[in-house]
Amino acid sequence: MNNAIRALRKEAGVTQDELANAVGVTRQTILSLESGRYNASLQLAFRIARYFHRSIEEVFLFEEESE
Amino acid sequence: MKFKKKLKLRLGFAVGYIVLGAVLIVMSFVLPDGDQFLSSFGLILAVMGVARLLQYCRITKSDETIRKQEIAETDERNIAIANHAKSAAFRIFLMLCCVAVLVLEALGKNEPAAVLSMAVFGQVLIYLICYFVIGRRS
Repeated sequence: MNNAIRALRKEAGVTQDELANAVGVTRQTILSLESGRYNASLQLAFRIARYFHRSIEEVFLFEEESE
Repeated sequence: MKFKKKLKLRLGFAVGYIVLGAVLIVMSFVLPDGDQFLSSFGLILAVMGVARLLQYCRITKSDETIRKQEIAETDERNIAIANHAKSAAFRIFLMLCCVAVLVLEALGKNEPAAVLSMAVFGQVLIYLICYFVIGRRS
């Protein structure tokens, strides 16, 4: 799943560590989210969206996997 | 607050391991037929307890380190990785046990093969029970 976390984070002038602390995960999780290697749970997705004062759809871009 | 209580429980266990280890070591000297196994086991327990105690002291240095440890333990990605690792370890161990049963049978060691195959059966049975119980709860 693609997401706009890196762009939003840079726009807000926040480091990965600061974002991770704010949403209660490790920096490695934020790194994995930004690189698309890991998909956030619904709870984490909400926390991240709320942190950036955006809706979930603005932060996470759901694309159906083509078979 | 919940995590701090968890840490206190771990401290209790650490002290318990040290005390139990010390008791076993003393028993191995005091008992007329006390053997090396008791003292070795006691030493292992005591060392484990000391290691956990040192870990507790390191974690509780400050509120910052407590928070970092709490995040590390509750991080969803870390939990997912641990669960995948446990699942893979279970599968690999089960396969290795099955291979070991076949090898033991081929070598004519029927008793160890029978015990190991019962252990394999037990693992699979426990897995099925856990699957059923967790499935009902979710």
